[in-house]
Amino acid sequence: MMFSWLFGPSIYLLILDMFLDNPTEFINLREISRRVDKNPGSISRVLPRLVERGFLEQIQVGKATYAYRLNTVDPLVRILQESREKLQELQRQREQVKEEEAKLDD
Amino acid sequence: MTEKPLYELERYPQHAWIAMPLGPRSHLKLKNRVIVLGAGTFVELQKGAEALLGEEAAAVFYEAGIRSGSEAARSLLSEWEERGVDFIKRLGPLMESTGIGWLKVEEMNVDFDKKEGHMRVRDSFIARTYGHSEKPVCHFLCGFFSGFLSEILGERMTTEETTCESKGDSSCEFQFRKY
Repeated sequence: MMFSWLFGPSIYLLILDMFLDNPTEFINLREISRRVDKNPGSISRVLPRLVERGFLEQIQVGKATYAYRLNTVDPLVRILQESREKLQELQRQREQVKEEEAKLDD
Repeated sequence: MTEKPLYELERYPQHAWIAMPLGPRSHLKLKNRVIVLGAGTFVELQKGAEALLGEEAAAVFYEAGIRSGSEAARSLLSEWEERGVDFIKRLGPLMESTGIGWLKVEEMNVDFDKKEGHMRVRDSFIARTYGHSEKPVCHFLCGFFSGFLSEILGERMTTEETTCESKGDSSCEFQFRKY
């Protein structure tokens, strides 16, 4: 949940983070709702914008049911994935430094 | 003929308070502070949020509605003796000019077994004040019904507004289901 932590709180970023965590999965509205722990009504209000902006691809899986997946061929999404990895690495390093400082304080 | 209001507002000028007691059994009299807020002010809040947050604003108002609906249902469950269909039937007069003046319920169906249903309303204070929109605008009411019905039905509920007076439809229609 890197981007939501950095720039949020935001339902839009919570969803984006969740898809960045699961880049190969097609996930439907109900499952997105379960994974980010928000009402489907809230999710459905921001999901179309993620599709419009090209972050997610949408496929129809039933009469009125859709599933969504991270659009990994989009160059912007690739940059987000790379940035996120770098940010996660930076966060790990910072935590490590904090732990070492705490040990020295003890 | 004008219907008798369900609630008379009580005013406490020394505290700048206005309270809406729920009824003779209410123990919430002093906690249930209300304010007179113009529908236009509410809509300006929504439009301001939309200008700043875009589509996220719709989710914010929906989430706020869920909390508000849950709280309202919990209060009313402690106050009203009716349960099930009879409880739901009292929601109409509460929402209309005899109660809080949010909207007029034209039709409401709740399937207590399937935990789904729909409600058709007119004069939603949001839709009527918002002006023309390409999309439904009653996000707070959608959330309110989700939160309210979740408490009543004991299931997590979600609501979608399928028609809206702000789009030029003749009424606002809300479809709700468990998830």
